[in-house]
Amino acid sequence: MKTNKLYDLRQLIDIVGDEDGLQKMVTIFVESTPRIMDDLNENLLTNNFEMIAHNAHKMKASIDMMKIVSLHDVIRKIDKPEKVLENKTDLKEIVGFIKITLDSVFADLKKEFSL
Amino acid sequence: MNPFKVFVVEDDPFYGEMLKYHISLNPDYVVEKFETGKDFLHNLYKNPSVISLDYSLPDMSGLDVLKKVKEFNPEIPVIIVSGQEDVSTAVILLKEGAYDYFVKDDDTKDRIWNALKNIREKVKLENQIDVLKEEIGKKYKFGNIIKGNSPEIKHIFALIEKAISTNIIVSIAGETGTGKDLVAKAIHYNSPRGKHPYIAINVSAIPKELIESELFGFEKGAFTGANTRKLGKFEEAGKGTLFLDEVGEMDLNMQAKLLRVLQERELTRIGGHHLVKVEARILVATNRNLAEEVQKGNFRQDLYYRLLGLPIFLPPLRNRGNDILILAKYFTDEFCEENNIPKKTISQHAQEKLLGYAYPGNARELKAMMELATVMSNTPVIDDTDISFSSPNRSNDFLLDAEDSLVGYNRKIIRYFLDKYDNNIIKVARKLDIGKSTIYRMMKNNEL
Repeated sequence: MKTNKLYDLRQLIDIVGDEDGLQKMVTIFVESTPRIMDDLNENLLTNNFEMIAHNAHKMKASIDMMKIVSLHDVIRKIDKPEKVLENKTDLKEIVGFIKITLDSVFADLKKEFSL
Repeated sequence: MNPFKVFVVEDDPFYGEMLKYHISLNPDYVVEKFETGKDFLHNLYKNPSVISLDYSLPDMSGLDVLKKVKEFNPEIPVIIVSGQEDVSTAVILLKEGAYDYFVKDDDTKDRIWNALKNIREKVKLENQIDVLKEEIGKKYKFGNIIKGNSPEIKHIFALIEKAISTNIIVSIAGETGTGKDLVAKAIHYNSPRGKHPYIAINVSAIPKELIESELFGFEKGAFTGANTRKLGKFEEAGKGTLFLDEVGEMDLNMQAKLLRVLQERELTRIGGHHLVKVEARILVATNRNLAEEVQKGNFRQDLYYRLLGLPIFLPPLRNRGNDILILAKYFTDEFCEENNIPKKTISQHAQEKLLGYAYPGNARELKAMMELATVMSNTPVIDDTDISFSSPNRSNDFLLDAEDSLVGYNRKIIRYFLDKYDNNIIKVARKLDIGKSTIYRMMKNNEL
């Protein structure tokens, strides 16, 4: 059964050019982003708004590069401390949505690249 | 050529790797990646050609890192790459000396690519300029440009050394063709100002109505035809050297203005109101006797003392003995090399002929003479018959002139014989049965 992927690697392919480069970039993404996601979850539990913004800010560029369009606007809701405060009541949902989406992305990437 | 080293400072491993990959597509770039400010600063000693710096690092802010880089070497271009779309942050960083500020988006890689390309071009051009400046510096090492080993010229070398080590105004005097401009260049290119501009202006070659705007510049609309602002020579020289050649030709009105600028070390462009700081070193030259011009009222006394500084009087070639032969050989070799002619020697007779001449045009005249002799000579040796003196002839019918004093007639007679015998002082002295020092003294006093 064919599923719709939540990412689009065309831009990344365009930048790195070859298979090896792509494999390496995807590996880095799959290894490094979950660590930031874990930090984000931890900071959510302790209500550390500044660090939540920092984590979101750090993930933003990678998310954009992987063309995970469903997270494009969502991650920008919390990428600055003042925005985190604005969306304080929805924080749990926002972070939850980011995690579910990314987990799905990681799973698909692992499968596609045999990681 | 040194490799073009690009340092990528980015704590996001994914984004950092992406940048590294993208930049490395150019095989001429050597890319190193750092994830913390501290790690990067430890490696700053490697002197990167350019730095791509993430604004928010885990251990320090991009601003702090930028400041450290600028402290280390303000010339290294730093491109800030940030997720912050914040104009005020960008302005602060640019004010602190960042080369550019890019927000991370789909176009970042292209912007960085273009920025690197531009920076590399600029570095290349700057390197070329440095090489050229070094070449010019070598060319104007004064041992290379002022030839000779006579006591007179050794004294000049000693004075040039003194001029190089300070910022004192230097006034260079000497007859036409003695090399005043070469001395000015030697002082500039061998001094710490050598990397800054050398601007020379010949005061006598510029109409007096234009000299002020040439020296001080003008603002747009200062006068009819002033369509744009123009910087004057003082400003063009910046922290370099401004050489005012033939300064004795400057009119009295302009002399007053020049004096004010030299005293105040600042000027106002024509039509302007703002004061512009003058940082250039001033060298002046003249073939007039400025002290005499002061006596005659043609030159301001206060400006004379202001410009006197370290006076360097370049001796006329006729007073430099064997330097004539050293220069003759040098000019001949130079001409042969430039024209792919086998080198020639100078015969004993030719040397004697050269030593006997008075050289009213000094080294410039000798150069022209030796070039012509090299062309005329059909053998590897330049002989006396190949050498011809070309000073403008004077009238031979001086005895038919209006009545003159005995001193006046003496002068005319000596001049007549000098012309007749190609300014061969020894021969003229022998013919007239007078001491050759008499002729030299009269020449020195401009009596002939």
